[in-house]
Amino acid sequence: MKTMKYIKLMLTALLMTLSINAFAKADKQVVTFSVDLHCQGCIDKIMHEIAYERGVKDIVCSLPEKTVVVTYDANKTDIPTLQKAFDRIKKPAKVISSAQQMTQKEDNNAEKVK
Amino acid sequence: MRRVGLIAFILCAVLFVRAQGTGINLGDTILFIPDVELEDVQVTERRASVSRSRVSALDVQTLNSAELCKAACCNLSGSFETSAAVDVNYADAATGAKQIRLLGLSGTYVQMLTENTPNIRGLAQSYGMDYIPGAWMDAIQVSKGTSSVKNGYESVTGQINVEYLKPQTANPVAINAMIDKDLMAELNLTTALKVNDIASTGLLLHANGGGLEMDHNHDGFMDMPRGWNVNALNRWYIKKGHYGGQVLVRGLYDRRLGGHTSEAKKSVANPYEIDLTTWRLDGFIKNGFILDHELNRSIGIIAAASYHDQKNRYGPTQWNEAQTNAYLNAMFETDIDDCETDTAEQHGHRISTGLSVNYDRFSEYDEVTPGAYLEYTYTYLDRLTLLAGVRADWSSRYGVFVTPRVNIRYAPFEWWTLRASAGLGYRSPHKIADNAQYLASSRVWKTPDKLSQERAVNAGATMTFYIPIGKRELQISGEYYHTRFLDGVITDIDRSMAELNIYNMRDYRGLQSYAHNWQIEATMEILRGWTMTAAFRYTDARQSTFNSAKGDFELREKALQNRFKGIISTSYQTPLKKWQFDVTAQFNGPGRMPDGFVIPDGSNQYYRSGDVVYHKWYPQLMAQITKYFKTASIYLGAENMTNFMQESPILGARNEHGYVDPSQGGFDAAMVWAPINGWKLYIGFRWSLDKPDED
Repeated sequence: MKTMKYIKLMLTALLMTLSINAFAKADKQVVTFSVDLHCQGCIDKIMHEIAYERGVKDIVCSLPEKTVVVTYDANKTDIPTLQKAFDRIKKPAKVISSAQQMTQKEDNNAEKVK
Repeated sequence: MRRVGLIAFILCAVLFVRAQGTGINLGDTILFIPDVELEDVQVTERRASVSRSRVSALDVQTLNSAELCKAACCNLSGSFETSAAVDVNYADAATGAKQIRLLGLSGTYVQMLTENTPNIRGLAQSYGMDYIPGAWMDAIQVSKGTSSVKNGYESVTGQINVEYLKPQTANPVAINAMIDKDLMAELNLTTALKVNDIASTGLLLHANGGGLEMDHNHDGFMDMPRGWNVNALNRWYIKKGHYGGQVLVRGLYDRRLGGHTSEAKKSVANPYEIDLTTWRLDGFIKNGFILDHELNRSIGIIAAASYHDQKNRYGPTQWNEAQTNAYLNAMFETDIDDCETDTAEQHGHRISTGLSVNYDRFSEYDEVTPGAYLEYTYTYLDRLTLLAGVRADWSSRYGVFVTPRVNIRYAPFEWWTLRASAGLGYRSPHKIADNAQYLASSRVWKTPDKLSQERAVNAGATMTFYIPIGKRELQISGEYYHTRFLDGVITDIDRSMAELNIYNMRDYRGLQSYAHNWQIEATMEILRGWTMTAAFRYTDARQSTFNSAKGDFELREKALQNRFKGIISTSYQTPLKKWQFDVTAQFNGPGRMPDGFVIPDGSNQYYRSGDVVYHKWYPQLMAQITKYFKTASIYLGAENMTNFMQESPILGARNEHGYVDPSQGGFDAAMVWAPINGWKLYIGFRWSLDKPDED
């Protein structure tokens, strides 16, 4: 019974640590790559391989546009590193544009200014 | 303390999801791209883990590997816990056997298939669900209502087909290991190898065992038997030109030891011991030849065989039995060319025909059933599909019988699909295998010498709406099915608590057995990565059993059948699938207890309505957190988090003086309607080697 108590306490502590980590601030940037996408298989490959590159926070692929929008933490990675990762899976990525990602609040303020 | 821990666990999981939402942005990524306008940006949506076919004439739901990873899914029986389609419950409180229910009827009326070949029949049905490890499964297809006649006449309420991992598509090596809080552990190793351009092979290995001697309800009986299971499967797949073939062989050893705990054995003169040992070997050879690509013309031959040997001891009762099965099915399929008419492209006609023979041998009897079938499929654009089939079989035990079936699908709009089906199904009952749970009781069996063949009609209709909401889709389906037995057997546990009576319906006038089943289900991806499913099922299953008070048969609710079941299941996956959170809540409705059932002293789990005792409804809650890495994942989950347990699930196990010797009578482990073991915590690990690129 005591062992179970300790297991539960440890799990609770683990989840609390994870929760705190998730609040950490990231310098989020967005880059749009042009990638030669043929099918859902290409998207699956990118979602599987690039997703686990250090600093990658989100990926949105567009098959009709043949683009991959990557949101990443600039403190942890940069565009050349990401391009190298695309090269490794034989899907060379050309930068179309890059910008700093706005938070929802900043975006709303920008709309008001307009 | 237990409850506090549980609440802290849930709170932290909720906190974590909220934190993810604050820091990383849960919704669609907000982009600021000054010089490029991206029109028609495709949001990579999360693929549904349970999908309903839009084009099939049959009402088929597919549970893919993502759905199977949402819970522990140690084996096939655990795969339906997050789905409303099928009910799973313990068959008795002593052997760990699980039984399924579909459309309010026992799993014996569901045709179980593996790789679209009949399997888990006869003797295997008691524990057969445990014989298919979760880590081996690629997908499960659940088909409700009458189904195709290609696979035989046996399906009454539906079909469940399990697809094993395929050598052509599976990862070269994968490992899955899991352990629960009672130290029950399992290990799976699967491999897939492309030998050359023609052949590929896969090896699936599974072992489980261990476990502590648990007795949560203090009745002196182990809640779950301890034991070992070793399971190995090898499949070869060959494809050359117009030929495609498969050879699959599977071997299994299963041992379960249960009954009185070592503590109870000290105080009971004749301890009750359960010792179940099973050996099984099964396999098939499939050959397919494409004769004409344009007309999809092909012939296929399936030969399958199995040998199942079990030596089961339930206290003083010994049941040793072996079953040999052989099955051959030869099929021919072709489209019918209709190119002479102007509207040929709008209409499709397809014919499938074949011959089959099934052979079963038990110690008491054997049965040979040769048969032939013809099935016609008509399609009009993608709006209408009509599937009409008929088969005729001859049984060496029951003579000639004919099985007509029809399924129709009509989609007047892209967002609305209607389906209807009707047909007959047959089954050769087996006295003991169909009622094996009652061997763990002191009931005296009273059965006719020969049981009638079961013959039932099943008819139903479903309606599915696909409602677009923004970029997403809300899927709502409503369904009704009715199953009525025209002939067959009735298992009566009402006549006396000391007897198990089995009747042939034809031997008594006016005996009835039927089930009405209504279900409504809604599912949607609410936000990116967050899906939710809610379902509610209501069942009215009735059969005639003997009412001793009235001295006559009476049509009434089937005993131990939940009247309703509700499910709310939600799953959230972070944008890059690095974390996944799954929570499922079940609400299981009340059910009638058999006549003569006495409410245990002080229990508030039952209520009385007139002379009839019902068990109350009860909730179930399960949750799992999965952390994904590039080639691995770790999962931590809990089952039965409400810790709901049936009080005194084994009747006659103990009284105010302590443990009772089961040989004194009144012993019954089969009156089970809820979980018998408490909350369960488990942790597991999956790792796989990625498939190398084809180029």
